[in-house]
Amino acid sequence: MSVELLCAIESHNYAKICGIPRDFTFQHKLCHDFESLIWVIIYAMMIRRKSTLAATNPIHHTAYKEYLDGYWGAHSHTKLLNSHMALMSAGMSPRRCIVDIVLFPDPLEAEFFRTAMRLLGPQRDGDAEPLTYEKVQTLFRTYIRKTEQATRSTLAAT
Amino acid sequence: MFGASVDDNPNPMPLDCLILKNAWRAPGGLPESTLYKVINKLPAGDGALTLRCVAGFVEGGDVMAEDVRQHTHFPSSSVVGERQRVAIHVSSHRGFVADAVLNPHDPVLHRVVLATRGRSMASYTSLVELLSAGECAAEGTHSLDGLCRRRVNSFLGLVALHERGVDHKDVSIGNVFLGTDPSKPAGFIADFDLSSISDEAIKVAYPTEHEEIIRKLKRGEWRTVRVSQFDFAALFLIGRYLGNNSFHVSGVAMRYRKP
Repeated sequence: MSVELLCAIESHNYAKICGIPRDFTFQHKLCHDFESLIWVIIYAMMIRRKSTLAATNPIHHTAYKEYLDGYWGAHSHTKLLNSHMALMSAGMSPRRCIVDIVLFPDPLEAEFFRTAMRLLGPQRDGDAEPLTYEKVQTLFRTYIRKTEQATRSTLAAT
Repeated sequence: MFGASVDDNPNPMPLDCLILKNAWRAPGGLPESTLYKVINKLPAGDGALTLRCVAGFVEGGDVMAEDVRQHTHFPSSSVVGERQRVAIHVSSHRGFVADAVLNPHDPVLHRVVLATRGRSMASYTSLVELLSAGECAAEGTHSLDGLCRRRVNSFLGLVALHERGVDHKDVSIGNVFLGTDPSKPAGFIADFDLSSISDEAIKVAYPTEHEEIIRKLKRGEWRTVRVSQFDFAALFLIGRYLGNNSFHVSGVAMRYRKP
């Protein structure tokens, strides 16, 4: 779910708890579907990483699962919103940190994650232009191309 | 998914594997099966190839049951003991059929049969495959040569659907899929339960009936029209294992269950 939608749901729920009835007037747009699609890609990467570790390294698998649950095991919109914010912060941090060491050891996946979070970051702040297809397409194609190049380099080296 | 059960059959059907989705839908909104029908009727663009970045729709509708009237206050039949076909509601599963029929907010059992098989996004074999699937889902470009170099058409991805008046609104890991062949990276989207559709798109898909459809949608009466039942999985499987290839899924649905 997009951050903007999660914020709207959180506000709506808060108003409901406070007894201030109001309609949920959030206007779902195409840019929100694009943002959700990027989150799907990120989530798929992390699930695959967990599955790989389950077969190769049980100890790391257990540790990774905790991270995965921490970021995605949300049972409320507020927690999911906070988790998205945390992932964005991690992705936009210039320091090498949990992103490269734990979450995405594959350098291209880590780079994709950082670029994607930088794309979504301004959406979080609410002052950016809506996410367009051109931006999403550029993101995908850039890393498709980079992965192809990396594959070719690996093949050439062997 | 009952399609997996027939994979080993020596006499494959034209549609040899189908996905059966069973869900409770909120009444009043556009049923998912109808949305698929609308999508299938929307113009595909100027490309010559029919490429799908939306799950292939076979059949669908609200599930109907034949029920014996136990009460006298049914809206369409007041004869106690008369058999009548009614949509299955949550309440009807709990033994409150009469209330269910009268309650406009009670979720209705809805089924959709899809012909497109896919894999979980998390089962990708390379980053290229994952991102290619993402791109397919986003726009509708479909790569045939494996590496997304050959853009052959723009057909019914999120952008193409949006341009035709349909917004998905529920993009999640369970609704975006990889294609079955990892060597040909592609993806598609499914699950239109929460999607919205413009009046214009309905008009394009149903040029002669759109006014009635839009009116019923606005009044929350959709569930009273275009329902069909197709609890035909058993018939389908029996037909397959008896080698009876005359069973065709949509045919079964129409022949046996069209109200």
